[in-house]
Amino acid sequence: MTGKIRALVLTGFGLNCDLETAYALELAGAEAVRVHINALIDGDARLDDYQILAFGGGFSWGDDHGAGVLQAVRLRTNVGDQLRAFVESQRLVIGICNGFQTLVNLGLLPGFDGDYQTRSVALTFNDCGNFRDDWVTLKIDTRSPCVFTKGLDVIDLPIRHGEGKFVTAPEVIARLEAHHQIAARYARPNGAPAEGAFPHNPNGSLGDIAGICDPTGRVFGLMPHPEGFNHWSNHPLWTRQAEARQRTGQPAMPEGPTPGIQIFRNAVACLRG
Amino acid sequence: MIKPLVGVDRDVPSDAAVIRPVLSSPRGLAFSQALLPTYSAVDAYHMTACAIDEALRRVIAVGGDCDHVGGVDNFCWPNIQYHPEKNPDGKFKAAQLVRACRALRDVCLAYGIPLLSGKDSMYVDGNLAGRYGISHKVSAPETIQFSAISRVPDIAHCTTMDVKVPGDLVYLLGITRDELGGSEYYEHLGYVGRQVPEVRPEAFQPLYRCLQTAIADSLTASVRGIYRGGIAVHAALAALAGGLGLSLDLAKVPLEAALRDDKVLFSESAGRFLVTVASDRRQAFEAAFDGHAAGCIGVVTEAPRMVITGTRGEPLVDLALDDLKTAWKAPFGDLV
Repeated sequence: MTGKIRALVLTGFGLNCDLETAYALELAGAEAVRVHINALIDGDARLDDYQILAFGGGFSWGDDHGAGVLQAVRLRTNVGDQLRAFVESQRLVIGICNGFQTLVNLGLLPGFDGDYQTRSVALTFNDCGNFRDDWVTLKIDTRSPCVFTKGLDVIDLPIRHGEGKFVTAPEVIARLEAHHQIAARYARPNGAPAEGAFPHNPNGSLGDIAGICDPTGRVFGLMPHPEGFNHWSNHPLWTRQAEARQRTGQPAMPEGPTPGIQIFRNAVACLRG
Repeated sequence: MIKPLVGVDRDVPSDAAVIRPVLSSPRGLAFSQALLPTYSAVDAYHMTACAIDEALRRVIAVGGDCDHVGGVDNFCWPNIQYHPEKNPDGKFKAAQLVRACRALRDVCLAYGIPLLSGKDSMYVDGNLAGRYGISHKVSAPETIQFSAISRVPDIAHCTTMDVKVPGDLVYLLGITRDELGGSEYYEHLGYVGRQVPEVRPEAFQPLYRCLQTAIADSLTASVRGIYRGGIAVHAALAALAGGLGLSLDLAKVPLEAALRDDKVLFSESAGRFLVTVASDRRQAFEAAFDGHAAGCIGVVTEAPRMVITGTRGEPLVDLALDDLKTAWKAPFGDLV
């Protein structure tokens, strides 16, 4: 593909991470455009003009009827065909937090057998009983087809959610595992499995599941916010890391992209081929 | 960039928060708040002055710029209208309001802090039901919540209050005085006292500028202001946040005049900071603070204990950090 990779970042109706998500995509080399959900529905913006679609974080429709539920209904009813055509034309979709909740409600995930309409997993209220704003460690499945997590292994990202507990039937989990669709699981700081232990697994997700992709690896949803780690100083321990680096003669901040930005760079690199 | 809660376990309140509102810029904004209502039992002038000084020190501690600080004053005040039965001390409350406004003028002018905005919540009074069907008139203590916002020229130079590396030296900046009026220590003992902390902007400001430069030059590994509760409380918080111990010697604390050990531990004198410094930066740090009140009072230790020696060399405190943290968190119960 030649020219700029264009990314559409949804905004409106209570979404609130669109500026950061667009910034992260720009840092990754894409041209990001924030588009109001209504502009997509009215036809003022068309998915055809983009190669990446980002469902970002926030509280769409105030989480009424469950997080992501109304956004999914609104999009399926109005632009459902466009969405499926977008996915089937080998383009990329990322759903972050409220966006992940929307993807599972749309049925774009888990996308078994090319079925992008059936709801078979849910993200529901955290076991801890409240909204959590913290940082978590993720263990990436390095054998996953997920294009967004290529080359990553153990990374830290922020979470900000009240409904992030991944639930589904045991046979669905088995199928997700068999196809390496569980791209990211909550882990202990050293990368060992969280095994449900709070706060490493912050919400009680079955199998420590933090993010899943479809069988092609081109549709990816996760509860943590990769766009929230767009600068080394976003990390809660960065002043400690900077002090240690300076004492060994290194600059305070590492060179190169943060793991959060790497997720978006992977998407851009995949499309460039 | 600097979150409200910091440290290895992300559970100790930072001096101030820092945000980066323009994502592509290295500049940040530091934000802090201070509230010292108990000082008004002695004098609302010093309550106000100390709140301003604390908010200023909080933004300096994370890497703020002394010359770019704005303030917001929020008054929470009882009714000041005198009434012989309903508000017999109304004239005193009015006088306290005048005193507070004078402190706002004096201290903000001295520090060069413009007041960007403010809010007045007057008539903070109520009647509470008593045990025997009677009612008690209750008035809030005269209170100013002072907020400060400061420009951070480059967030790469921000510091946090958690001690970082064993072997680092611990410095106390500023002078500790016999100022425990309205202090947390006296409150625990059931006293108010009279010698409320006073703010001396002309004496404090050169030290603040010096610290700002030291932070920008990366001479400091951690910076914590000394606020309510005094040296003992804030040194313990810096240790808890870093997950490392401290070994401190009260004989090295810069004092105005000889002071009892418990007063050194819990005095709430304004104008002070606790700073840790890598041992190989000792010379540069001490040269930078030449002529200022700066005492090397101890060292950061690998052993997770808080150890303090008294002014006459006798052991005073030896506590495990785990016990300190449990005691400190107990009032929150299962809330967090």
